[in-house]
Amino acid sequence: MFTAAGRSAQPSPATLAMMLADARLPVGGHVHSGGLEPALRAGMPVSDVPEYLIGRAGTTSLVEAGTAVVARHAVLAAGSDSWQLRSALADVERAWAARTPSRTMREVSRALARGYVRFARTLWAQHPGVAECESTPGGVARPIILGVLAAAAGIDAAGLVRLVVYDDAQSVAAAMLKLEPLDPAIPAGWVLAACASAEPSIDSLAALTSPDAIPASGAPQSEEWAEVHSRTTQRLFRA
Amino acid sequence: MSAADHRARLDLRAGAIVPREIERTEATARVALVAGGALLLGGDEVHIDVTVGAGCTLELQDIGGTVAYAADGVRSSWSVDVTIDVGGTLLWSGMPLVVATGAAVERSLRVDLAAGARAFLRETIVLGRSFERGGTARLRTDTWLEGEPLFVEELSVAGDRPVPGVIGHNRVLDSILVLGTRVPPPGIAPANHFEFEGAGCLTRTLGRELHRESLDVAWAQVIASVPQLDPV
Repeated sequence: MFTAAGRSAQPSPATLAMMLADARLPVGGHVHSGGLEPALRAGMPVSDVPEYLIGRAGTTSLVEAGTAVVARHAVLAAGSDSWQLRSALADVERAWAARTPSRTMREVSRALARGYVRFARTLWAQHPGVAECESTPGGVARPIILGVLAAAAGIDAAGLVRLVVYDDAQSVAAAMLKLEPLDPAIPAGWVLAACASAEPSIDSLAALTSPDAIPASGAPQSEEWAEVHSRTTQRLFRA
Repeated sequence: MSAADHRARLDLRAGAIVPREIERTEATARVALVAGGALLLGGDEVHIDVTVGAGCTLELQDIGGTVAYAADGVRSSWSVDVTIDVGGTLLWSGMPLVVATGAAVERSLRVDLAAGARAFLRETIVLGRSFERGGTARLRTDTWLEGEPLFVEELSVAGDRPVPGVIGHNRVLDSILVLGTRVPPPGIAPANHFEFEGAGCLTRTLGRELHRESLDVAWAQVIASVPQLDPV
């Protein structure tokens, strides 16, 4: 991969980060609204959406980003030691699952991860982290494969945190345009505000190495909405 | 507590909370927890340690709820550490913790379960007394089963800063936490029942007003499902 006739060229980690944050990447993110459709269906007023975004950036996104950072660290620390890699990634997955009480949210995350794993195995087939995610029974959580991809692509921990926070906010904003159409520039501003609200946490999140230290910020209302939504049949988004 | 030939050994130590034995047999005990004075005031630090020996069943009953009083934002803490040995069971019938406007409470719950151990915990958090929006609370929960994390959560809530998706404009979090086993309580909407990846589950409802009735019924069923205890 990345080897053209007679010369080897590597894409910049910044390019790869842009690609991972790009909704045009065929990983299936378009079926998710970042919990927005469940929230609006449950009666959350549209005027609450900017606060909802900032709330996510300070709760579920931190769990997601912390998990991805620790998964990235686990891959880099294990090097070529496949036993250590398997054990370390399983610990991260377990820590994430313990912080994700909603079965629906766990299932949605693992379904999303499958799209990334398909993408990763084509581009980084030889990478031990990618191979490990592919062979994990039951699949891995989305932040695990994102952490593995960051390790494979050379994306640093702070960049990974921003990627996770941005991607979550942008999922909500993009879904907003389908659910409650409005001037597309407005939700883009909400995304930037949500990302800005997470900036003070970026350095401490990026420094995480232990699964125990992953943030555990819950969002009980979103969890309940997600469970209600998973049982409805007429919906645009899976979650 | 630990099991003994005729009656379980209970080692009760009083502090801000005074434990009082109600009854006990070889391996079961029922203990009431009574506040020793006005709780919680700003700066108070209440710590409760509970150890349940192998094969024992301990039932704790809060006598009366707790109010965290207005304290101009001075923090108070309420931390509980529970250790349950192999095959032990803890039931804790918690009463509401009311976080008054101006209170800043840090609530920590740590439960460490050995193989075959189980815990059933009722908890109600209320933001504000009547006609209040309530203070701030950080609710930290860390639980392990055989050394592996089972359920870990940190909720930060503030009565004057409702965050949609966290608890929104709700003031009451009512919950039944089951660790080491799963008990789906009857009469609860599926969306209020969360099954963990490991052996455990959480039933939780959010509300604007304190109506414990729905979970009271579920809690009674949960207690009835634990065979070692006779109904009071």
